[in-house]
Amino acid sequence: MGMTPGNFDYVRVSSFREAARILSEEENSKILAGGQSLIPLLKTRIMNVDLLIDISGIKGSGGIRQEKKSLEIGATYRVGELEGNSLAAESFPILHDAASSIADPLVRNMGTVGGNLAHADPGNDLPPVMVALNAEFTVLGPKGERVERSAAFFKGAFSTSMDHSDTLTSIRINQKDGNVSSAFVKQRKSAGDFSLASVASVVELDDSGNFKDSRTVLGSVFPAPMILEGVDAYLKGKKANSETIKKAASLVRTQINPESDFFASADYRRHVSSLLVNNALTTAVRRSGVNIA
Amino acid sequence: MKKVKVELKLNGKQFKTEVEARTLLVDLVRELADQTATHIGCDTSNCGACTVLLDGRPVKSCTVLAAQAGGRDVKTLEGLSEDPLMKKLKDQFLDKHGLQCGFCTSGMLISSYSLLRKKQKPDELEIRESLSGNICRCTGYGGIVDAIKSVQPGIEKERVAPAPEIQRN
Amino acid sequence: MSDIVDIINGKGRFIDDISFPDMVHIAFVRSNYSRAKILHVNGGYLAKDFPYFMASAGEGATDEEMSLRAPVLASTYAAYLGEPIAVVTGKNRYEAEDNLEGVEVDYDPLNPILDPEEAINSDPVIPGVRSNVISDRFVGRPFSITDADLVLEDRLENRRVATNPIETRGVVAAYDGSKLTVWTPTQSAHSVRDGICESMNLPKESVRVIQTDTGGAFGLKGGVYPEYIVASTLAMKLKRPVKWIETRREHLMASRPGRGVVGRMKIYAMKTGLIRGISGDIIVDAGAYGGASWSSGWIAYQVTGPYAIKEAYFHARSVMTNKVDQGPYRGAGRPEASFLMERMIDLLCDETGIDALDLRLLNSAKDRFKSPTGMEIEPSAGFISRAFEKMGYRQLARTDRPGISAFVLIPAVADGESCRIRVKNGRISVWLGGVTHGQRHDLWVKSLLSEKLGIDPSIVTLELGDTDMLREGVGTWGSRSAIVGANALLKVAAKIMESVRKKTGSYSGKNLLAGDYDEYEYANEKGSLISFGANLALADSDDLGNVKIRTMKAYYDVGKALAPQVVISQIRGGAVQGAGQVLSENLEYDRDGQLMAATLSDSGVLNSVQAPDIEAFYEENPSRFPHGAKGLGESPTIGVPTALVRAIERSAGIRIRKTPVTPENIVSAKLGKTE
Repeated sequence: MGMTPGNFDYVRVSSFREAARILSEEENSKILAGGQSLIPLLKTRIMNVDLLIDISGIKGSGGIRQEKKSLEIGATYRVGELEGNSLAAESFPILHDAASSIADPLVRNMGTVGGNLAHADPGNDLPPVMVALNAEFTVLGPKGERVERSAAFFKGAFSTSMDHSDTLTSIRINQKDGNVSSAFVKQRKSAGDFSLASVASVVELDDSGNFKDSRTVLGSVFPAPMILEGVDAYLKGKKANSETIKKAASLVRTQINPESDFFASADYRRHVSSLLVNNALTTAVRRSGVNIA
Repeated sequence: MKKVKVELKLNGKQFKTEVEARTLLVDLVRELADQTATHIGCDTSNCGACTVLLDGRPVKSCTVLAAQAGGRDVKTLEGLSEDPLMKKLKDQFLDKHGLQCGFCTSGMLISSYSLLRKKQKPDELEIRESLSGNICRCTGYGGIVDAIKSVQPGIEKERVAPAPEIQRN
Repeated sequence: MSDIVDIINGKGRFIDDISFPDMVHIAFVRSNYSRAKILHVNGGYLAKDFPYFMASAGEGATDEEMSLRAPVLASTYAAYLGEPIAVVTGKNRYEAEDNLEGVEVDYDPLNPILDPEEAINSDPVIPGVRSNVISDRFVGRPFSITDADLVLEDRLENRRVATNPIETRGVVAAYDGSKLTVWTPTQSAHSVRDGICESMNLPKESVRVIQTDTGGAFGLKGGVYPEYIVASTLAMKLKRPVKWIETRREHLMASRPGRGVVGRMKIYAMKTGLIRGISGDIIVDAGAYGGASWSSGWIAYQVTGPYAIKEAYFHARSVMTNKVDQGPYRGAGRPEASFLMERMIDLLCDETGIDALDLRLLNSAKDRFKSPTGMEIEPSAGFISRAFEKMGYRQLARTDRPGISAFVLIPAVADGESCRIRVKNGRISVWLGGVTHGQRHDLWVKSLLSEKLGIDPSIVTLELGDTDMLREGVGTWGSRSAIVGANALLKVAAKIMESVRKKTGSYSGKNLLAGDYDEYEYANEKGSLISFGANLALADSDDLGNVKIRTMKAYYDVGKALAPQVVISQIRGGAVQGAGQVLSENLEYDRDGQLMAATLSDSGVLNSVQAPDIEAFYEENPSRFPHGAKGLGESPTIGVPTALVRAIERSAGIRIRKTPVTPENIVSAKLGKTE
């Protein structure tokens, strides 16, 4: 109920290796990136830590590198910087969609891309986006560095494939060849900052305007992002028009089985998920240059 | 628990202190530096009454550790008192009734200032989006939006350094 | 309030800016349950250290409410989530919050009773009371109408809303061995003083309450709270200044929220649209200790609003539940009453197909009208016509789906207000019982005094509330300050002029400033004053159930605008609060009695993107007071919700019975499912 965090120590590290070492030495330690989820949590004193390891000072950890076929984002790259990065938005409009809708501009100026992913709050927006983009996460653990596929990274609410001594160091998104576009849409809870449901969609159209490939991911409805395989299977090879999209979106109603809770009924979650799939696909297809109603 | 040494630039001056690691930036500003224009309106990172500039960008100082701000540049409303753009903004806030109780005002001014440094003539939606992390319960925001719209440009555009290239360690 | 220029420069002195070197910070251990037996508490200061009960003070406290008194701290039974149980100290806020961990509380959780309708017949929410119905009245006159063409019934509801000023509650108390000084942001320094004195059984002269710059209040900061008694008691015990600043989470669970009303309404009407009578069962969710128990009767009193409805009869009950006490929130019963009336009128529009304005005009008062509840109104027909003409209703109604509302504003003028004017060294200082906290009382104080006394307005300062500087006082609430405050101000100014005349032979501004004068008057007020207002709204809703407000307009009779720009600013601010109540503001508990709103944002306060703007018009029909002003502050929170709800209802093609109207409510109503 308080407005101050409990006691902890603080260390600023200059490399991810140092962070990894300290993490494995100190049992109740935690990585601090931007702190926009962690600090409010510490203030509730529901969560207590002995040591915070600030990785934001690691040289280059907050950078971004765009190459012809890929984008590499450092874990401490700020969400607000991603929002303002027009080059990244051009290649991956879905990143701008999500980054500009997270919390508010002040929080985005501090909050980091890596933090949004590693915290794995089901209400967060970047997890489904990264799953849709099939991003690769570079994780540094005691045994060295490894690369995790985004789809395998998110395990549940506040739970990822990383264990205590792992740190997410960077995110790599590969640009696919062909006519690829993307979109992210969300519905917030009726009050508050978090998403009730979100849909991240990456689509690839062939020369005749049919869906060649797609990945449609539902966020915030389940503890971890869910790839809507039924939707993607349906889309494959079909004409990218509003009829196809509508039909694909309607499949969602029967293909997911969300729970009812205080914030929404299962019915409303189905309804919203279906509409958001429609909206995300429509926007993504439009961005591919196809004019659909 | 260990204390941490924090040295930062506060309103243009070097500020050195030693604090518990958990000390929030807002408490450094208010309690240690006695700069009380910055307020605490919530403990849930919503209201933005605690907004300060950290390396030129507006952030919620109640959700930043003082230690995180070490080595960086912090500006509060006090540090912008001589700034010509801030003066214009204040005049317009007064003229357009952009404040009633005044508790959120310091944060509102800093977010508005930051917007106008990025964009001289923002449209209504851009203004409202930039203020969406600052909650005002009195004015309904209308007077604040009017005030920002009424500021006449004439200030050089801010240059925020681009993020560095990613480096492998 | 500090000068507005100081405020904008960040030099305001709000409660958290008050600091003393040896100050003690306190933090509260609060009940984790909405209802529980407390088996054992260990650590901290406990109920026995504060052997007092809470006095009731603030707007409209009645004898009935006075009979039920909450403990300062709970000792054996927690009656609501967030009820304070123990207090700890620390040298700063961090340490005080650390020390919370040293307090152990063993609970035996009980099933909380959260629904006021259920609480009417359930077992008592707190031990020792016979019934949870704390106030039970019949308001109006029983009637029987057997030949109505239409009898329409509905259940309507406003859920609870947090007051949510951006500055939360707070207090600093210091004791010098003989006098207790209490700094607090407040709507009434005198109400806080009287509350402390009554609770702690202290003589008034031994307590001084000083208002700090007040960061919003909206009804919340009218009276005294347990935390203030704790801070005062500890300041006396420890002989050190004691500070408490409420956290937002504490605010959401343990600061009195507003609204929380259910009405089962019934209207009797003819096919022509004529309303013959209205009746209803009005139930207020008063909370664990029956807070603001007056509000159910007060709502019933004004349901008929600006309409000449000949028969009206209400069963008005305030019912205790296992929630924090309800309290006044901007409007305090007025918006609820209007919601109950206007929703039924709109239902009648739908049943008869009669245009919303025509139906309102038909039922408006053509002559002075006294309702069966005793509310007397001036003719309203002319006002309603003018209002909707100005807002362009007829034109809009041809092509669009506007929602409209018409209402009465009954300001809390009763008991009047006090004022002191001191002239010294060529400067004029003014104290008012109704203190300012953003309403810019300073503007009309300066302009009225300048006009009346013939002096330069810049030599006038409106001081903050201070019980040592002003003997008695009422407070700022119920849209009253400009009316009764300005009235008292002008009376004291007249006294000063008389003194100048006596002393110097004739009055002039120059003669005034050449001498020292100090006059006080408590200008009592017995009558009432009612004004009219009207609103219009246009809104759309999409398939997801999200509402987009396109247009809002207001037209209010303000009597005389003492500070025209402030009138507009007040309307804009109040309109967003009204819209917030409709769109998202809510304090909802789950079945176990846990509060679902953990953050300011969760409680549904609108941000700048969500907030609509409003086009505000007003007319000036001077009141009987010399300054001509009527009330204003609460008008938008009365008129906006009803008009907006109707606009949403029409755009979505559904019937809305409850605020807030969530996207899911809209979608499920559209799909024909019941909530």
